[in-house]
Amino acid sequence: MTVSAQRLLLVADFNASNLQALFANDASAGVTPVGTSFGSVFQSLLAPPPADAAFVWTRPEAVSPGFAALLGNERVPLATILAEVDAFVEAIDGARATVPLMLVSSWTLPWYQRGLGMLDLKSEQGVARTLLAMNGRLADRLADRKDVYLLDASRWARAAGPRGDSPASWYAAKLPYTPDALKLAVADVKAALRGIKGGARKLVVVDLDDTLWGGIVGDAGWENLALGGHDPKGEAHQDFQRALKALSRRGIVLAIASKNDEAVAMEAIRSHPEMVLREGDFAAWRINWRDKASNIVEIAEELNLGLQHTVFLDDNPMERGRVRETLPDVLVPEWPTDPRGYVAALQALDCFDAPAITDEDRARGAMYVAERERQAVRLSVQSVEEWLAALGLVVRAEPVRPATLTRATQLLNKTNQMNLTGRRLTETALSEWVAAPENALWTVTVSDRFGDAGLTGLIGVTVLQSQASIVDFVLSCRVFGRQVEEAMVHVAASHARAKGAEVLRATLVPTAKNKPTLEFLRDRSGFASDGAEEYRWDCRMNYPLPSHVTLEVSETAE
Amino acid sequence: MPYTEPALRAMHKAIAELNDLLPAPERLSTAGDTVLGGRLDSLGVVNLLLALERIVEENEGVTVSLMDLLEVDPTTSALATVERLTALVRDRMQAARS
Repeated sequence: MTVSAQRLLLVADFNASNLQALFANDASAGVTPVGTSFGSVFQSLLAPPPADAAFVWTRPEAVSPGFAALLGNERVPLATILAEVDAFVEAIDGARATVPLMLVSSWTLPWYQRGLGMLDLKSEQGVARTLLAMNGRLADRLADRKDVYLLDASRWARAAGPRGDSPASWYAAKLPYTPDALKLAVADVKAALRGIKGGARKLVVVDLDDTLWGGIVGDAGWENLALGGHDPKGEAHQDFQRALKALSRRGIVLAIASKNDEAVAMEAIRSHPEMVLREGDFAAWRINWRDKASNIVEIAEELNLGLQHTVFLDDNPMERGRVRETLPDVLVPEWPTDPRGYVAALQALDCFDAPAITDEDRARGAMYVAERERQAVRLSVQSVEEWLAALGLVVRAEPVRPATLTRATQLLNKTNQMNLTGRRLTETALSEWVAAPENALWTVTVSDRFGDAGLTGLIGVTVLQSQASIVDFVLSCRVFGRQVEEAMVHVAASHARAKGAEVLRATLVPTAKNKPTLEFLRDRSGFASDGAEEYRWDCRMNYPLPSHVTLEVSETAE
Repeated sequence: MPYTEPALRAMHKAIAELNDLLPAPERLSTAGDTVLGGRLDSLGVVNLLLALERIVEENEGVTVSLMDLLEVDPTTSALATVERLTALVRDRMQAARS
């Protein structure tokens, strides 16, 4: 089942009418909420109505009778309670047969529940200690479930404050949480659904003066910037840089758009002893006196990232307003006037939520730096052919396997430009597709002398007797234009031929963004055209492999 | 009268909060003659009263209880219009302070 249409089942042990209303009234959520009878969590999970996703939000005492007894200070062995957690996990497993995506909240207690007071984390019968064990068990059991995500409800309670839990509304209508707490849950569910659909932001473009550091470098000189040291402002800016660095380690690319003299600003980045983010941490920069919106467009184009994946951070409200107005796809969050709020403002953003963080994600920043070096070589040679030959390109294709399935799913759901059909699948659905005997799916990794771009391509082929079809043709924009595309088609055509197919077809499903796929098929692939969207290759002919590409196909691929 | 302005502010905020939970065509105006009784369903009434109780406590530090209104005829009681409910909140804030 695809994850594009969202019928969201709400399973709760309390009155979820307000939660349902918040989802229904929020057009940006893109879901149709479907309520279930409250108080019947297990029944709802064991026989759920059809839905694309479910949000399961329970109170611990509703799932575990043992925990309910513990709240009454009865002695209950932890093993009994954990067995009840396991039963809950089994019910979730049961629902997965009907509902492909499950979002489950962790368990919390209201702030006023002090359990055994000072003994609550010491005693085996402590309420808080037991709840920690329950959440730990739930997290451990759900960790290896594909398409099941445990959301941290404790953050909703903390952010909603002491009035987030409401005994008054519980007694009035079995509503344990105020609308403020519910809104935080809705925001996290929306972020999760957006991330699963490939909508996570990937690029942060940041201003310099009074954003990355305190002060105006062109006026004060880099030696006098507020950065680090022993003053609140300097420490706050340095911590903000650390928070950006942490973001980059999970795969978010950093870039600079600043109105400054480039030489002056770069000297500060290279020379200031307390600068956390250095030149190598930024994939691109535009430091000049031009309009920042134009600079952001250029940066996104240079990095082959869409504006819908871009975030812009700037202390100046006029710059924010200008970018927001000119580039509505770019997320421009409101920004604190005091740098001491910068870290919290950054860490509270939910736009980076993604269903997985792979090795490729973590290495993404370094890959962009390598790309910058690659492009520098391109400028130094006379022709594209000479440049391609200089790269020493190695393309490896291997059948998808459990270890690469997560990254393959992520790539399928995130990639827009070089994507034959734009189909979106959950990890489970992709795994099921691969399991069909007529289907084959390869992952493609690309490297050259500048670095390893990692797993950046997918080729899915179906062969039915003499007819073969390319079902998925997906390539990250990071490696476009180096004839990796032709190498991938070579893999598909060789497979089709080996399986006895006479024709290999590629049917383009046009999307708003996959024009590069059309251009490749139409202009460079060598396929014959059967219409604007239908292309074919005669498998009696070998599909040529570009001369500068070294192709390594795994033994089991053929 | 004392508490008129705080009661009105609380009412406006509570209606804004309630409107987040209502479909667009059913959202309430803050005008005094806006009819509540018979227009809001039972959950809508509960949400409005709970929001009022909470907002009055947060903003004014006064605890008022409005749950007794769930027992009366909404079309003729203080729940009939925004103006009448605001007046009741004002009176209860005053009583709680005295």
